[in-house]
Amino acid sequence: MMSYLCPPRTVQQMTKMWRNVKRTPEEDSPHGPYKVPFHESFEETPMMVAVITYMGYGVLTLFGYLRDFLRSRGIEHCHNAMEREEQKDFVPLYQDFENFYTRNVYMRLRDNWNRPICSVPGACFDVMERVSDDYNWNFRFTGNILQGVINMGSYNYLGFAENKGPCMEAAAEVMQTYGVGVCSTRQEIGNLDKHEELEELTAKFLGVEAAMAFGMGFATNSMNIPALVKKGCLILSDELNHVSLVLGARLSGATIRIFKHNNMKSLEQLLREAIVHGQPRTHRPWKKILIIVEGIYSMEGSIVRLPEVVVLKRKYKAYLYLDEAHSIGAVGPTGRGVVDYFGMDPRDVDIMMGTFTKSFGAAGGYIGGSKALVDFLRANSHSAAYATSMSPPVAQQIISSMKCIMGDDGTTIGQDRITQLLRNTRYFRQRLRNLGFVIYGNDDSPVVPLLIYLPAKTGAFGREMLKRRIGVVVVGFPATTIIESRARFCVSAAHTREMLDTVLKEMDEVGDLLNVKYSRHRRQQQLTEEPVY
Amino acid sequence: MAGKCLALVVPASLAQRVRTMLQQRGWFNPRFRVVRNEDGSASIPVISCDVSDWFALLKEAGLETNKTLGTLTWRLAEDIEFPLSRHTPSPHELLVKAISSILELHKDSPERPPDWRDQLPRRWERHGDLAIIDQQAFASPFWDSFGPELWTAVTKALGVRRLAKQGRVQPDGYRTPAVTLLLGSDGVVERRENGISYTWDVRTCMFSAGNAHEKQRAAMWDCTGETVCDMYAGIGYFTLPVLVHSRAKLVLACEWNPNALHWLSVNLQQNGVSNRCRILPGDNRKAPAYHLLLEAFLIICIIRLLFFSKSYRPLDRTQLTQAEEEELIREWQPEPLVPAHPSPPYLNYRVVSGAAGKFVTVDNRECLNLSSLNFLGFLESPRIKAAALSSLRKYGVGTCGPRGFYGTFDVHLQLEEKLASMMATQEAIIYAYGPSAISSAIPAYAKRGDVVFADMAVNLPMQQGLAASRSNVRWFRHNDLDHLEMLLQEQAADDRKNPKKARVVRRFVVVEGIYLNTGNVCPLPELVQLKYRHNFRIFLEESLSFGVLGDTGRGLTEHFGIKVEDVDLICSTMENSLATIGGFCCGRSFIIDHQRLSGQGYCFSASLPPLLTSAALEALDMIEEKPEMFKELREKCRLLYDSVQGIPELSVGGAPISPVLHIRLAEPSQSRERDIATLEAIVESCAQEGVAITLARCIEKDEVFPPSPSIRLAVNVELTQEEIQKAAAVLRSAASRHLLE
Repeated sequence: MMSYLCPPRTVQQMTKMWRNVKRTPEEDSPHGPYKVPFHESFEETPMMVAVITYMGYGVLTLFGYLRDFLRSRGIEHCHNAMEREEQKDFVPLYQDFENFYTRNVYMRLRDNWNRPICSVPGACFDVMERVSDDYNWNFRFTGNILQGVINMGSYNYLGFAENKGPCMEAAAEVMQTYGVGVCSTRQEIGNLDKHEELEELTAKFLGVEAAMAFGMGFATNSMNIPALVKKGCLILSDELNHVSLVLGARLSGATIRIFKHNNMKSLEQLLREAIVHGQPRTHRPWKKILIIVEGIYSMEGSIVRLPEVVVLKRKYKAYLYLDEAHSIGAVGPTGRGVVDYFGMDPRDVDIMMGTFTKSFGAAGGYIGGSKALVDFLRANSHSAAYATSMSPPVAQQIISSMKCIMGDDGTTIGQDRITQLLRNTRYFRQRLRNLGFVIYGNDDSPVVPLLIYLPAKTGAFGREMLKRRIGVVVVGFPATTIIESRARFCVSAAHTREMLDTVLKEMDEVGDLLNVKYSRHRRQQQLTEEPVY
Repeated sequence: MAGKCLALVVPASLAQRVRTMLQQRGWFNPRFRVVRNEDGSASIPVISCDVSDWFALLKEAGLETNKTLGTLTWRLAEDIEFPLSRHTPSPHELLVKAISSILELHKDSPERPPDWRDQLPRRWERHGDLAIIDQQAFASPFWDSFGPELWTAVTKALGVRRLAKQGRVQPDGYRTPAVTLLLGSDGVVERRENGISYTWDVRTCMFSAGNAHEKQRAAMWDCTGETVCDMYAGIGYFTLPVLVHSRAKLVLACEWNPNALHWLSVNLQQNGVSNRCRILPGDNRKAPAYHLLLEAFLIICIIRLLFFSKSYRPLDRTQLTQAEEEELIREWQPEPLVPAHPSPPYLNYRVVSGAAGKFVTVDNRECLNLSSLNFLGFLESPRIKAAALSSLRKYGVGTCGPRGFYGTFDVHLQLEEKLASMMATQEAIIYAYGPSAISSAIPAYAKRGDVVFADMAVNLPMQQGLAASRSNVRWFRHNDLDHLEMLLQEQAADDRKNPKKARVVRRFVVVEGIYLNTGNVCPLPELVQLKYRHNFRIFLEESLSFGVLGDTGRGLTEHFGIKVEDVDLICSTMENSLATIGGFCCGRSFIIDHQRLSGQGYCFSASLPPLLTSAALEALDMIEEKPEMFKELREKCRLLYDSVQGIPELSVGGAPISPVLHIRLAEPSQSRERDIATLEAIVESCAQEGVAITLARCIEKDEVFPPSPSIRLAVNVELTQEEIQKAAAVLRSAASRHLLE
């Protein structure tokens, strides 16, 4: 799949090369707090497309009501699971309107999600073919396996989702010794030496004093934010933050205010207002202010404006919680995430959070920071006191892959993958733009959202691509705003140029077929930009 | 005036009766009045008649006649001087007399109607020197020929100077009276009533003298300082009494009859109160133009406010200058992110090297493990390891995506199917992390406004789920269903008060099968009975009972022989008995399927690594193949339970069938920290003697009801009888060393 035939290079060389890839002479001017050019684009939705999209939802809604009516009269067969006869007189578990969208919109497109696979989620995977005889209410497996589907959906940024190689072997060995589970919590008797090793390594990898690992990325946010802030504290949260951050913030009891996505003016205004006016009603000063941002936003492909956030955080004495779920390993010359990407000091960020699910091909999450922070979490984190600790083979997978990225395994495989990912990302993004698609996000973000807008086309795009043996993720409302339904590609270091070219060729066709090449910058860009790989 | 007349003299006491009798017979002379004499008799004027008639009359009155005159009780006296009677001829009599004389003068008019007397006015209103006769009077055209002569006669008879005739009140909005003036030059009259003078023209305005009492009543209201509105003011009928007598500050008088308005203002001036009355002339229902404009303006304002204004923010803030703001920002000092020196006791974790199976190496010392929740000993099972390894070789470690985005593996579907069939439910759903199963499941159903009844001892992930649901949580005492029923009855009472709300408020009861915090078993059969009485749904968390209780390890429902459908949602981790990672929920598709879009920990988290999924599948296979292990486990639980009884200064919490037991201080001190330290010392002593036990950890400040400090012992089915007894003995000796000193 991938060849790592490049001669070994030092990290310094790699960094230089990485910088060279992205820097062109005329861009060498100062970029404010940024050491590298920072270019993100969010092309405006064409008015006509927006109107048609709204109309599309209108039609779907009308038909939804019609079909609900037919179902209620028994004219159309109702596939919904039913309440138990004995509990018919209970208060209904769901309000009827709650499931209107699920029943009448999601159900039409449902085959695009939860597609079962039966292989390693690497650059290619095997998808189990399934069909529905009743318009997506139920699925039936045909028994066929769609083999070698190019995987553009998994968060396998550095290609560590592997079923062979040194990482896997190490994990297998650890599993033989430790078993699969732990059956206890970190604070009780589930603190294995593997966990300590992992945490030490993570701290080193991140360049922070200490780190702590948790069994689940989602829970890292939802169970640790409540330990850090409480009532009387203020959380300033980006509007597109992940659900786990939102849940953690809610559970904390702190006041939550939302700033516009990656909008520093909005953030600064909230900060000023918060400090000047204090808490609502009592006007007491806030105990702490915590800014929560993500490194790469998984639905937008945007990278946080970290240098500016840090300037603001310092100026207003706020604390910064950075969720690097998608960025750790995926950006930065040495794969250390957005801090590395901007060439900043990891100590500028108070709470470095991330997951091991994506770039490391494992599971779980971490929090890194000062020793005081980590000590505090060891004593106060819900994950440490109430949740079974991380599975040892999973911990080993992280250790192995992290060492690989750091070059501690004595190879440059990790560094090569980082470079490969960047090359793939830029190439893929540039080609897509040249084809005339509307692409969101940062040029260097391996998360590539492609705007489709119309829900019906979204479904058709996903199906059409699978037909062509390409697995893509499509998302719509409520994960996005109502008109911005999109497909999302996750570029991986494991993708070869051939694979990307295949994907691009098929997409060119599908794009014409579905008429989703909405970009209005297309022509002029084609003339000026020549794709480089 | 006086005159002479025949008199009947009777005792004064009988005078009244006699006079009445005389009047009845027509013998009383009405021209004179009865006179009371000085000797106690009274003289009654009578008309002379036959004397014999008197006897009959007086006998009837009870007066004797055959007595000597001296004692005569009555006598007749001639020419007694009497005062004249007060009776004057009534106006009607005078009228009849006057008309008769006119008719005498015009005897020759042949058409005189025979009933002319009936056509004379019977009723008339007098206002000053003007009389208004009723409509029926002089109806016949016969009277017309007399002209002013007739009217002059009538006025004389009635003692007035002007005469008018009532007509039918016109059915117009002004109730204009149809009064025709028969004699006199104008209809303006004045009337005084209750010290108020009313002036009006009878031809154009109404005045009802009969309402005097009502006006008097209005005059008695105390309206000092008040503003009164008289909606139908007329000539000031009520306006004037209210102004003059009730001392109202201001009267707004509405009237639309222009004549009435004229007289109203005249009356106000005459009574000297015009300065306190504002007249609103015309039809007050009709809005004037400026009013319409004002209303239009208001509507525009409302529209602007609703649709074109930014959200309403009360301006309770004072505007600060830039410099002031900067200073505030400079001055603000946040609390440190974390306390500089944390002082919790569990900062230094004990390090376990290698697997924590039946034996565990804690801090480089090998111990018998009574602390891992590895009840079935699956942690070290080679079979499970082998299954996990083959899975690892096929799928790698991570799934690199949530279930929705290519994170669904065939093994996930197999595991869900297996769990569902094993638990005899329609569907199961797996989560990648134990605690996130229940903490995602609860808020998927319970929403703001719903009511959740929760046991006070539920574990923290459940508490977090309850917090995330934002439902109204009612806590009932641990395993106390009477308390629960009381709360349910309170709820039912509330529901009766507000049935509309009760129709949409969902009710849930969340309980644990075996409580992690206490080791007690939930009384499920009683709870199910309550369920159908009070229509709530049961969410059962079986982390400690799944793979433990029941003959085949299906958990609490099997233990009690309860139908699985009676419990709405069963949730458990796979991290204890199954010795892998993750959790699951199972139940009817109607319930479980909802989590596939609403369970946050399911939708938004990477899925369970396939190797851990395969391990769970293998563990379930082993459970199915060897159900006798549960009997053995129960025996071991019982054994441990019995072995740790009776340790001095310690109490044992938990059921004999529970795989976890809580050892607590029998007499805890006031300080939680000291208790923890004491128990910690016991744990440490045990570790030195080769038995690994642990305190049940909790984060006190985050627990709703912090459990008291305890050592949690856990049973592993692989522990032998001797090992359990040894562990108990070690605990006993360590406890006695630390507690009896």
